[in-house]
Amino acid sequence: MKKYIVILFCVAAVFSGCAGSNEVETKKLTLLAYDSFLPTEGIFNEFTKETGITVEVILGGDTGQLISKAILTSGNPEGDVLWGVDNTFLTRAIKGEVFSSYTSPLTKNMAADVIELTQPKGVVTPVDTGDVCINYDKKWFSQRNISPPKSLEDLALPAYKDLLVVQNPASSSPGLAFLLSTIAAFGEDGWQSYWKKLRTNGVKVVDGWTEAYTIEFSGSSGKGTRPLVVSYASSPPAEVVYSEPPVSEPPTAVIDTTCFHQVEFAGILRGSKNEKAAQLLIDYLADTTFQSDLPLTLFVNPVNKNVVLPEVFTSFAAQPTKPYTMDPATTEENRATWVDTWSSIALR
Amino acid sequence: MTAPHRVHIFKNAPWLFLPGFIFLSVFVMWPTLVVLLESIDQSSLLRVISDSQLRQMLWFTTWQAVISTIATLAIGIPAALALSRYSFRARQIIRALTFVPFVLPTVVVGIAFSSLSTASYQSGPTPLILAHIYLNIAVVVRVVGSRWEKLPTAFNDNAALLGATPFTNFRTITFPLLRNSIIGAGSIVFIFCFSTYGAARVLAGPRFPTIETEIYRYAFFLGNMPQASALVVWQLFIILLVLALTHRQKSISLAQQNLMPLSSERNIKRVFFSVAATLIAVGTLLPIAILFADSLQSSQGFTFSYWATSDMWTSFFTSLGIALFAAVMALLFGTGSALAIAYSTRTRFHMFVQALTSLPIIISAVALGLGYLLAFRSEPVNWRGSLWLIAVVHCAVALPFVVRIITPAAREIQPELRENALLLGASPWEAWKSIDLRFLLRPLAISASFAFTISLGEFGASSLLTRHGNETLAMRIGQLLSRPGEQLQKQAIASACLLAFSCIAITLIVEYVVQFNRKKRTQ
Repeated sequence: MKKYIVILFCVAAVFSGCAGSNEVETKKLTLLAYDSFLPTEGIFNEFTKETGITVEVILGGDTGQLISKAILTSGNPEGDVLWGVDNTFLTRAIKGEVFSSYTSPLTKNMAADVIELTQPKGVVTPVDTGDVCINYDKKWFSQRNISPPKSLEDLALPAYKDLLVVQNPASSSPGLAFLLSTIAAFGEDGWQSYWKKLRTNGVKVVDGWTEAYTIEFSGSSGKGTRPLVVSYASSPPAEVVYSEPPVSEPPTAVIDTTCFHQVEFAGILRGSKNEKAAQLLIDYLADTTFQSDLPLTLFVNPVNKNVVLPEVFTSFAAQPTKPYTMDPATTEENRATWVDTWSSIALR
Repeated sequence: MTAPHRVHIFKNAPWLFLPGFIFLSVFVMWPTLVVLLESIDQSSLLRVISDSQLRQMLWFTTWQAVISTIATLAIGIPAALALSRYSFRARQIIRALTFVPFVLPTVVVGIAFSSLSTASYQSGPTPLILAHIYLNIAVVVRVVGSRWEKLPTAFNDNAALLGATPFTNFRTITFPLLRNSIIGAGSIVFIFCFSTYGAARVLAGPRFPTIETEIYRYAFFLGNMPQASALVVWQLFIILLVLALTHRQKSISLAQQNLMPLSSERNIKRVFFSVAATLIAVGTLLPIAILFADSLQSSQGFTFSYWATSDMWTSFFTSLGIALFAAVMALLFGTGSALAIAYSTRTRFHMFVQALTSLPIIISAVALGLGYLLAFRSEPVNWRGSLWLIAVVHCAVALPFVVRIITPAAREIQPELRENALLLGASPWEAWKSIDLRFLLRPLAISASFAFTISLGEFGASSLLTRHGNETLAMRIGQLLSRPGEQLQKQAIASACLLAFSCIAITLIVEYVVQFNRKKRTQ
């Protein structure tokens, strides 16, 4: 009998432990982020020192999962602040009433094009930008004495037949970004015939980034056969930082005329009981300490213009001068039609 | 026979199912209902049949699952025969190897095979069906094999003496005796192939979506929860329909309780079967070998560094802890449910329990994962983000296997044995302990290893739970593979090897224990 009483106490302790966690207000904030949110350990120590608030990071899957889950739990969120909704998902998140409106005053330090993509105004705060671009395997092209393609148009040339692998825009974020860049480049009338040409030229479509980059692509650690892949502008510096033993040159490079510009946002989750503290955290995320950590941990560009970029990032991450872009409302409005049309051209 | 007291303490004891029922209600049915009720609507349900693309998808999912199941049985049954009736070198190791595909993430296997061939593979139905065979052979080997081990050879020998061909022999004697276990294995394989996700994404490709990839896409990429929920309901409906159609109540009880001695005759049949079994081993060993070699190699040569990351070992021990917890729970709830079925004389009750305990693998992982999010969001059950919730999900997913392994074993126990024990003066409880429990030790051990392995490899519903870091090894692999960089990719590969090795080790340890049991009995 004694044994059971002990077990009962243990169970009760577990329950009370769960229940007690919310009692202390504004002493602890929960930051909900996508799985690849891996900033330097201890990056929130300074925030804790300044404000007395500790930050607990919890991970909720990829961006799509994060947003769907946030919409389902809107009003009774899993955390206080959400990191990582991008401009292709922003409209949906706002429609799902995920956020409680707040924009950091630090947006004054951000570039105009970033602010422009933050629609509607005042709900969320931009925190980083990134570009989805065609990456190529440098060795593959140099060994064959073929010059890598220079533009979207080049990808449809016979010289590059059967070399490109892309993600399905119906199921993958970079896949959708690449489709949007072709729509932005060739217009409502031109993108369909462009994709017909790509298909004739042997483009391979796979379901997600991991399949494309690690299985099909020849340039990274995988031993795939295709030297052209849709990935990120910051993939080459990631290849350098995560090389073992260290290499000085990435094995891959970016075709910077093919890029699609993405902005990621952070916002306060509606229903958070710690809104005031959450505002402080949003400010911290947009401030220089945290922003300086972004390039080499999340491999994205900081939005705060006062941040000095590290050298490995500036020398290998492409900084496309004129990336394609699309505002959140237009994207959300047309996405289903575009993806359906794309499917009938590229898949069936 | 009229006994002065109850001869069988657990006869018709539906209360044995109570713990399992409570577990399934709280952690499977309630979360699913919450998510479905929150989002479903009629038009989405009807759209599944009226929309030509969704209809096509449903049709593809069904036919590939049917073909995969038949093909898996066709290859798995000879393999089960080879691995349960014939003795040859490395038999146990080969049997343990058939479990490896259970824990290796599909993407990792894809990486292994893509490094083999220089040609880019063509995605489509054929690679998907091949992968399904590869992934599910373990189920057939395990479920059919454990019955086959006990089939007496006397009937077959007599029939052969009377001139029956091997085929007639199989058709008229062996098959009827095995039928239930074949159906049992087939139904699990069908469920798996019907709700295929990882393999479908990698191998069938975007041109051939299946129901689970579509549920995932509607829920997370299109944010169309009503449509996702409608698909969840359809999936549940179709699988339950198939289960009901293939359900068999009557089982031919074997007088034989002990394992038959392994045959070691040197004939052509044995050679043939060892070859088949070896092929299976190569199919599983090859990817592991490639991956292991890959994990020791950087662009500059040999290295141990990918195995020396503390993160990997932390996740590994977390995984082991979770798997242990999940296996113990699954055994507890599963055994109760299995015994409630086995000791019951009521067909309806049997079907009811069987269907309920299958739910965790029938219900889409998306529905289960999102259900947890909604069901456990407010006090006093605000359990989101708890580590033990992962173990609970794993337990739920392992439960159906425990039930399916233990039920037939418990059913076959001869009541006469128990009655004899009673006549010899044992109390009903002692009789149960000395007869039933003794015969159940082996299936219990097998279930434990199965549950443990499933927990190690699970990357469905639990990956949808919000968490504090990369809690399990399987989650860590997923996270590493979603970012560029050789180091991260190689660490993922090393982690996948570790998963495969621990799976082989667990299975071998259990095989050893069980084998020890066999030797003792046949002495």
